[in-house]
Amino acid sequence: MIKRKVCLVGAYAVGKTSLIRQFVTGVFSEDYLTTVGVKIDKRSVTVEGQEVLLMIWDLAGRDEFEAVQKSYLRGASGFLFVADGTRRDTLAEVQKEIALIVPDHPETPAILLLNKCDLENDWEVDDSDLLSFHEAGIETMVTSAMTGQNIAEAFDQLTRLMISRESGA
Amino acid sequence: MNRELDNSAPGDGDELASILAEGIRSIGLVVLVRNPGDGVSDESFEIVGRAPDWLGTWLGAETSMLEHSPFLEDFVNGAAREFWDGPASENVLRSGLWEESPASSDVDETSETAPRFFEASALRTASGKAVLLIEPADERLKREQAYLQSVHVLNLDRRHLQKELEKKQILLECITHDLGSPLANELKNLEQIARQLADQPQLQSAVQRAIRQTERQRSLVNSIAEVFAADMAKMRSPNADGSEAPDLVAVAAEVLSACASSAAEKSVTLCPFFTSPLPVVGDKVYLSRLIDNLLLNAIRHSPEGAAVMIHFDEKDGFAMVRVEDEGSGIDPEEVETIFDPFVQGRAGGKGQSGLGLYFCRRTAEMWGGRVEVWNRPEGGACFELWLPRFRAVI
Ligand SMILES: Nc1nc2c(ncn2[C@@H]2O[C@H](COP(=O)(O)OP(=O)(O)OP(=O)(O)O)[C@@H](O)[C@H]2O)c(=O)[nH]1
Ligand SMILES: [Mg+2]
Repeated sequence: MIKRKVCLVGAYAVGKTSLIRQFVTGVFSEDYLTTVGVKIDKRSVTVEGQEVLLMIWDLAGRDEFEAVQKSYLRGASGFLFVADGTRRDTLAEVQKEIALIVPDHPETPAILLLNKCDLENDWEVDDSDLLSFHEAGIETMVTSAMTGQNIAEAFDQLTRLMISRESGA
Repeated sequence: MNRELDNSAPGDGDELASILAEGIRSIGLVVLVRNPGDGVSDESFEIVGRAPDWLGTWLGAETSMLEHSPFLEDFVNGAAREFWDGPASENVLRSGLWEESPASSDVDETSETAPRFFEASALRTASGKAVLLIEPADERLKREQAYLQSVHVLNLDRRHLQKELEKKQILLECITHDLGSPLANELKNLEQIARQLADQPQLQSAVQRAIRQTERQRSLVNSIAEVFAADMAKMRSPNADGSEAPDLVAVAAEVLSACASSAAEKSVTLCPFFTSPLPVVGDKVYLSRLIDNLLLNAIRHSPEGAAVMIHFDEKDGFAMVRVEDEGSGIDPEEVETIFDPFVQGRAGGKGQSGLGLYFCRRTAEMWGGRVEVWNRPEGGACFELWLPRFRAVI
């Protein structure tokens, strides 16, 4: 089994901790407790016959003034950028993070998650908002930490991208 | 600093080293030292002094710490290693806070005493030895957590409120346009029908009833719209957008002339005592609605042929307009509740929704002012609207 580091990056309260908790323990909570520092969780996935132990780094989502500490991102094999589909401005914030991070990690696979898709009535993002991400080669997926929708798929897909990039290189 | 740490390395037998080690232990700091040229595995790290009790439970034995803690492993073999091996530029490299899960499964996770948040620092002695400090950081985390939590929750709440207000704005437009405008048209049509039915008294009175009902509906729609609008005026903070501050005296004068016909119907005399201009904080449209509410209220409660006095004043940075009537005054029990919504006392009753005075109070308070009411000794009620004087920001 191989071990790979994956980092979740995004503005505060977009649901990074909730996504990881749902993926690792299958639990969701309505309560919000902002993350300080780093917490690492593990879960293995199997893609294309290869078992991969994902070391999932939950990074504190800061406000518009503070980007994520770059040293945390060292050695990451994949990024899950997270925005809250019910808060359009979190998309702009994740875009800023991407602009800071991707140049240092040009080959590292990344997926953008639009979380909280269970809150349909409050949804603020449409396809045209995602164009710039697609142009930058970042796939997007719509997820819900509450219902679990697309979470395993997102981690699987990211792992697939990581593996194929490694074997292609 | 570097010298002392160098001296404190195990095996030195230096007295200072043991004092230092004891002091470090008492604050819960774990100090590990690695000799230069060792491999990268953590086995080469040696603890200085005695390890604190919690270390085994939370990070495992010093020899397997890195196996247990992926964060520490990432730091020691990543950024810290680069720091130790690289040119001596910085004195210290900090890892940032991390949360650990217990190394042994029989840990009481609710135990208050054991730390579970840590920060590591990489240092270098003068002789090039790698030093790793591990510091329990629960207290610091608690403080940072409390602060960030409150900032984030505040921002989320504010956002939520703004969204609610936008929804209200839409609702307000529905009320005024989709409900209010058709009613106004209906009223016009009914009035026209009434004129054409002048010679048919029975139908005529039915149409008059319909007119009165429609008027009541329209006034209710207007009142609801006003209360909604007042809520939103708060968020918009008047004059912040550079809009001109209204002159209380001039706005009152406009409203007075608009109310002239209502006063004349009851032979009520309006007696204004104008002063020089009094620019106030507020929005002109809402301010005239506010004064309009107070004036109509006074006229409504005036006996036939009475007078309504309007005075202006200023004091302590506030401007005031006072509306006095010669009616029966307000029930003492009502004084407390007269500005509450849907109070059907003086404010309501005669075909009124009971929202007019509520709107006045809400709006005035939103702009930093207030509305006061009392009964005049000589009879009748007296309403005072106080608003902050507007001062242009220079
Ligand atoms: N309805 C719904 N709520 C969600 C979802 N994901 C997260 N939440 C809620 O959003 C809030 C924030 O979630 P967290 O997972 O703590 O967000 P975070 O990104 O880790 O926040 P920080 O640690 O402050 O950066 C919590 O109240 C969650 O219950 C989701 O998919 N649907
Ligand atoms: Mg979090």
